[in-house]
Amino acid sequence: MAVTSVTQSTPAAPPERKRRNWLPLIMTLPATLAMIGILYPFGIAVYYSFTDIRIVSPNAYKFVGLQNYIRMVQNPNFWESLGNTLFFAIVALIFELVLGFLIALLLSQDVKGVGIMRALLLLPLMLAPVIAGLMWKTMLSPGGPINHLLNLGPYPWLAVPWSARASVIFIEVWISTPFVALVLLSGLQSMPKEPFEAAQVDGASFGFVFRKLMLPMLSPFILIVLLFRVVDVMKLFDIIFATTGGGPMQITTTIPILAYKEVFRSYLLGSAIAKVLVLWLINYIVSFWLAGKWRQETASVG
Amino acid sequence: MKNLISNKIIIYGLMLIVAAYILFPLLWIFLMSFKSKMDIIAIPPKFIFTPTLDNYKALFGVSGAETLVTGSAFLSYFKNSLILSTGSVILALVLGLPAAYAIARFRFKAKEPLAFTYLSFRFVPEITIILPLYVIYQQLKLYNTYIGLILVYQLIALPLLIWMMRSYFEEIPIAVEQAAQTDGYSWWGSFSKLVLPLAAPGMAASIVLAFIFCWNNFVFGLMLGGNSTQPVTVGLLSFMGTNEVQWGLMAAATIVAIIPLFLLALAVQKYMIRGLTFGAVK
Repeated sequence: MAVTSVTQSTPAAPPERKRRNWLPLIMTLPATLAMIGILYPFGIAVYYSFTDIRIVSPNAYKFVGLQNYIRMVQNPNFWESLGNTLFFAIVALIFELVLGFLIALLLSQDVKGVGIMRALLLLPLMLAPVIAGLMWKTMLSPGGPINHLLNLGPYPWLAVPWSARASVIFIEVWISTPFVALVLLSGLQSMPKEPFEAAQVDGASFGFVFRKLMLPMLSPFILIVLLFRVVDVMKLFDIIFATTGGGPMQITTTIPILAYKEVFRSYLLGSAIAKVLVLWLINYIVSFWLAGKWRQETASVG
Repeated sequence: MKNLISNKIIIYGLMLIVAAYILFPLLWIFLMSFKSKMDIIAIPPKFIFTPTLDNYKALFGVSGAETLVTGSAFLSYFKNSLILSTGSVILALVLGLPAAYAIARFRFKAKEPLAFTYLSFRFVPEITIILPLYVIYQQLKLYNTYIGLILVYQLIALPLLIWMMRSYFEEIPIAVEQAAQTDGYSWWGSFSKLVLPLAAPGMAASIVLAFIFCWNNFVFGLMLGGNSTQPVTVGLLSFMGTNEVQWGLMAAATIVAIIPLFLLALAVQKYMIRGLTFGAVK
């Protein structure tokens, strides 16, 4: 960490600043304190996960050791939700990356109108996921416009297991692909022109250019996309809450949805927290790994 | 890069498909917000109809329109969203601006680890913090208060502002400040008269983006707010109501809730695309 921080640091600060070492610490203090404030409930969360605390009687609880965790791993609902969470995350990310790359490629073409397209791409990003969920619920309702356009009759998209899953993924992809496209577009535009022109002169195929030139040059951008998307898609809650509510049966229940239901329907706070802590741990490991890779890449590129 | 596709008609055709993909649902909701109840539930769905302002009237509780409790409550949800988002951004600025500047400008040991720690809070699933807070807030009397919500909104606003502002500060050549200081400006003088104006567009983009992220948040209000503090994202769900879905009201409310954001976003669009990527993209 120390090595990368030296190579990454910004233009040299003036020497007289270096002596006033207390100044940066004082300036970062408010933000640091705020973050410690956030750590406090997190610490409480870890503690609660070892108790039988219920939200209806939050003052009367006792320490139960690993009971919540043991019941969790024995609970098929937990594994199903974890599977759903990972399934949604992986499938959605693949679609977002592929579609996002194709859109970025399209918008990197030198034609009029790409500026308007870029502004258009911002629209889904400005929309609250829960509102986008409601919007698509309307679109996908049995008498809604999607069935009409596809000439499907009153097909209940959100009530049939396979299409409920597909719909949740579709909505997530609709919301987030523009973000992926915009980041990858910035990546494409930051590339030097010469290697591509040389490849064209040599008559290289697009597949070759993609694998040998684009992909390596885009990799820091792909990593940044992953870093932000993985975390968000793993905590998928708003869209599902607004559309399927986790159903039909358990088919679209993710870990946050499961935990929410456990707390506000069965009042089992300790047990619910144990489940979201597992989610946090997975998130933390993945994002730490991705961030490390991203630092390596950006440090070596400069 | 030279154009991959030489035929402009194909390029525009593809662009049209992308535009339709993005716009169609938004357009549909927009149309729906001007439909009467009968037109909304019509099968097959109507693309051509006589527009009415009834949904908007009901939403704003204009008398004469079909007044609904849910409709007039919308204004208070809207007000809550404004208070929560504005308050959160202001607090995040106060807490985060000095930190962003220090990380961008000074060399100190804890610099990169600290910067990464701030960012890492973005990786915490909000629900991990909210569930224990549900109990803690009730004990501290912070449940269903603006202050309580603004404090937890920092989880979104603060890392975002610090990271974006850091990259904007880093872009201002340090020579600007050094020159000003040799010209006799105090540190504060050079900061307020030179650095801040130069950083202003980036700052505007950061503020807008943080505002939008707060505005769009759903889970905090859902679990830590009550009727008097819940934002518009939570309020909208009430139109999906217990007995009958208020499609028209929902559509009108959606349009009202997103228009201010679209306008804000378009104003700082150029800077925002970079801001969204947390300065990873220069």
